[in-house]
Amino acid sequence: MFGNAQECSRMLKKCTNSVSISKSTLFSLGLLLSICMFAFVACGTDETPSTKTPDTEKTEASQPAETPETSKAKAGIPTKAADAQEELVLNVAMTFLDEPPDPYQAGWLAVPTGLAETLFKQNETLNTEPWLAAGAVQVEPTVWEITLRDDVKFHNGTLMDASKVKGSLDLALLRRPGTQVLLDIDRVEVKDPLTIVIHTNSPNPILPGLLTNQNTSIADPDTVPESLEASAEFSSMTGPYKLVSFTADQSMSVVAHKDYWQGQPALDRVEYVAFTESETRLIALQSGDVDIAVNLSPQGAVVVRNDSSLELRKAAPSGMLFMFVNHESPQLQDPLVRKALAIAVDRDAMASGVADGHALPAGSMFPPGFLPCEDPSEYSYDPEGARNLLAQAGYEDADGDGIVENDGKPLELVLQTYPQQPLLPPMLEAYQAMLEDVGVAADIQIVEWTLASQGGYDLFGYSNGTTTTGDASWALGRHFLTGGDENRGNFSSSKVDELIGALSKESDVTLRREIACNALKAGNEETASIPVMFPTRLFGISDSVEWTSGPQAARLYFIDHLIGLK
Amino acid sequence: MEGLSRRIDRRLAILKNLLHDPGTLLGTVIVAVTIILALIAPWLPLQDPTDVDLTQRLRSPSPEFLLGTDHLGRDEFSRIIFGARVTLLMAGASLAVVMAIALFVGTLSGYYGGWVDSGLMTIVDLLLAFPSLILGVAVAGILGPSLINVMIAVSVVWWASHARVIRGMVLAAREREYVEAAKAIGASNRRIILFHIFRNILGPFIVLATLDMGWIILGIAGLSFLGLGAQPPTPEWGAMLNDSRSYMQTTPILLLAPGISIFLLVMGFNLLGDGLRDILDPTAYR
Amino acid sequence: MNGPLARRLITLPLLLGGISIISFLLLNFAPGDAAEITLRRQNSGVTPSPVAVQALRHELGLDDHLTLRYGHWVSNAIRGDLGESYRTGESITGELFRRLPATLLLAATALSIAVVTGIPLGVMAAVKQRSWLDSACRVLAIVGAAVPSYVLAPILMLIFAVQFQWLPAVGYGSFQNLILPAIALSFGTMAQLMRLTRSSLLEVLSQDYMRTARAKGLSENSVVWRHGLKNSLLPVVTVLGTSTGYLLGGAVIIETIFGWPGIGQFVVTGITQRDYPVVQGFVLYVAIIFLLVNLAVDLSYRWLDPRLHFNRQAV
Repeated sequence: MFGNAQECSRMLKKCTNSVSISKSTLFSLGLLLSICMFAFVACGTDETPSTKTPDTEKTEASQPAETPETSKAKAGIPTKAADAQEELVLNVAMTFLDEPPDPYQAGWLAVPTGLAETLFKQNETLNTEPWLAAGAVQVEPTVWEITLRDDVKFHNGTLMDASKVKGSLDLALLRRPGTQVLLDIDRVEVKDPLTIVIHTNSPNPILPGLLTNQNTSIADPDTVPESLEASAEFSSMTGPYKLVSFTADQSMSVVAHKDYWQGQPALDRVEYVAFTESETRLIALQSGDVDIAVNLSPQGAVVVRNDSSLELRKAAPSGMLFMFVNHESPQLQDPLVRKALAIAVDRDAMASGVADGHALPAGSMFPPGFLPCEDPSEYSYDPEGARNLLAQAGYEDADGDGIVENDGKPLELVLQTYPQQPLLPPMLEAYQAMLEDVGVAADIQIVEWTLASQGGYDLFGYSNGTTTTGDASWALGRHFLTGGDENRGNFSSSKVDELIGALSKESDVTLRREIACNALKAGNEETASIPVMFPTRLFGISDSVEWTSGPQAARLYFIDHLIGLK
Repeated sequence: MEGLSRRIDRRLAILKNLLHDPGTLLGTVIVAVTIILALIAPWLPLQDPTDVDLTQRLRSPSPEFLLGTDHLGRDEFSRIIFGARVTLLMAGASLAVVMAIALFVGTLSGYYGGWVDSGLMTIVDLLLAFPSLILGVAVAGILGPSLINVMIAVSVVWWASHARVIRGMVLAAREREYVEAAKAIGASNRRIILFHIFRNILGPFIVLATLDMGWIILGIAGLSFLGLGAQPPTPEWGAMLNDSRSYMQTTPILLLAPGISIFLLVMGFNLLGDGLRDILDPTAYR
Repeated sequence: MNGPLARRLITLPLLLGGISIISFLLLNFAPGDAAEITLRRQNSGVTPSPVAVQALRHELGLDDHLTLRYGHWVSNAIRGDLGESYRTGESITGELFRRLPATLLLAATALSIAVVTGIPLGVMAAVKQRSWLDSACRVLAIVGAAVPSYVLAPILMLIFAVQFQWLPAVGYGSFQNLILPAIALSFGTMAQLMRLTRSSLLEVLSQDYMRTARAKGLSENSVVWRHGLKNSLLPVVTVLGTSTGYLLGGAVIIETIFGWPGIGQFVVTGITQRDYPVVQGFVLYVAIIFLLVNLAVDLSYRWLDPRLHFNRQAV
């Protein structure tokens, strides 16, 4: 026994001396801990963390997301329980759910998810048509009379009328400075219960088109919470589905709006989940966890095509993949350098290679046919020309290392982009190689999209719609105008500003096109930004989804009252 | 003279033992082959691992591209070979820094004891209070994504537990008779440390370093996988794994090639370390 | 026994202080101006004027001396306020608390799986030494130590969720969602535990007091399970302590792959978005939890120390 003690203590000494950390007995503690964890989580509700629920109706908010059993049943795979009166729930995998669907700040989320609607919408040919409005008349150059539908009910049951619409528009202008810049509205007045009158600061022939902007969506102003950061209250909007719960970066739950003005929606509920990676969205679709996956990569398209229980849906390109030029970067002050960077892009290779054919090369910010310009100074691939421009700007490869320098300082760029759009990172990687061909070194950083406004880069890969509103002035204003909503690289040119200003005042359609072309040309000459390609939007759907209306041409719209399940 | 030949004999015996056990042999071969390949990579007849060719994307293996091409048309085989270079270089450098710090701190702590020991060990405990990968992620995240920053992050975090182990070894070695004898003769502390202590702990130290190489490789690859380490176009196995996830289903070889490479190399170091431990430090737990 | 334990308790506040300093410095060295970022977020991305930035800096006390700011930060942290996310403006403490159960659930499940499979396998391998089971276990151990979780996880996903559709691939909420991530996370630890159990049990089984037990006429079963296992568990259980840290860390990668809404996913998102308050809050939070768990473990270690156990028996 004595020997025992010695053995024991020797072993212990070895333990503590020769093994890394002198902790132990986590076994019993760990077991205890895990039992407690199980109890804690299992006995708690099935709600996902950080759920915000409104104090109004709380229908089936506490039910968990659809289980694999029911989704498999929909996919035709036999499961144990066959629920005859199962409610119709659509599961959608989204890319972004990072901010609550506020009608004035996050219309990009509220409108496509079927929550919110605007006064006007873009139809299949990208022209403007009435939506919540019934019609619009420009009674004077600066005065528009807009008549409203009489049968629209908000989610809380209130009828939409002119005073509500005025209240909503006032809030929209107040809450988001960019909306005011876009609409340039002086005041909104109520003429009668179904007519509002909008006075603009300068003649605006395309106001209805501008009112398709998703941040002008209509909500009951009495239900809009004080600030965006206030949780637990949701604005009452007009769309076919109303918000039940929202968990940032994770999920959003909406139920059918029984009093929807276009009729009963085809589904009872829609459950949105967010996965930032397209691969995850694809796998969720394949395993039956979701019925629709948005924004698939070209590789995802291949997989979906090969899977007989899935279907690929495509929407024509309505936006571009491009790069913001940081006009405050010291290296990019010389317009020759910027132009060189723009013509160093092999856009054909990008569209056929990186996008696997699911894209069109983009020489300017508008898809071909949108603006009939004779010479919008499109960028075409010219590496030799790029090298010449750089040489003109004083960049030569003096030390033969393959990178050009000016006064001993090599030209090294910082390229940033975000991963949620699956084509952007490989696009930058390919561009890095193209830059190397012309003697420019580049570092790639994968960051978050909000960093585009914060400088610290030379070029930022980004994705954005440009054909919204069907009129060129919208995108030109957002991207090229000083202080524009999407002018994150801080491009500023008085010449371009002047042209865009003139554009907004011109009513004649032909003249508008001409001015737009001139503005585009002027912007391109100064390389405001570098367009690369127009990607086709790829959706993967399971064969249980009933979606004859297909993805709509305009990227603003996605879930409507027609989409359903078989 | 006799001592010298005895030492040579012992070394030869170690070598022979190494090669007998199949596991250790496998490990040695793997590690040796990888190191050699990594060293001579620039002189091998390989394609440029950063050469983008958008017309050759995602090709299957062929005589021209032994493992096919990746999503930008780069030769996967040469990226794997050059990736070995990057991985070994980064892991080796991190290991050297980690071990150097751990050796320094552990020896000081174990040999001198007292306040020095308590103070240093409190710092060690402080670092050990953080799960290392998490602190590594945090440091790398704040420093910004780059391979150098990942090395710094790993080095800053990893040395703590080894310092403890080395301290233990030094403590044990300190009590040995020849140290007492050396003290009795009046040898200086530094001499004692360098000559006797280090020689004594050399075996276990080498084992520790070899075994740890596997963890460091996994750690660096893990951080690169999260996007914090190697940035494009640097071929590094962890980053290549991350890239491959989008193409996992259509071109699985892009996932398997770096995955198997990491696995083989880590396994190689582990097997080698085990074998070395059997020989150099038979009293330790296996 | 009081000596080392007392020392431990005394160093605890020192450790806590040190952790807080490190966490605070992390945020401090991070690039970006907190005031500017906050204003920008509140104004929907519009660049704020330098005057407004300076005013907010003054209000937030960002121009104060470093030690003063540290003091403020600590007093806030003690009250549970770890600041707000740069991106969403939400309370970080709140988000951490909401997400922690998910991570703990995953780590605890993985640990349980590792223990429940690893230790018995190790025992069997030691008892049936040189059998095929032993060889299989050794191979498994080697593989398990070398395969990274981010290689194993996609493969598991592809096989079980996509190919056979037995389990959901991603998401959180039901028991099935837990299975794949927990298995992927547990694999490395399981292999390590198995190996360690086997070797330490082997070592113990050949000791003198084992022979004594056998000589006394005890059955082989009793010899192995009662005497052998109990004594060989010590180094095993030591390693379990390390494993907790590893599991908490490994969960970061697994959470990202499986879309598991835990604190690991939170910190990775915080890092890519340069949301430094999140990173700093996370580090502090995890370190404190880790510290407390280790302290509890240390206390129980004293309690289970066989030397003391044994001394009582001897008397």
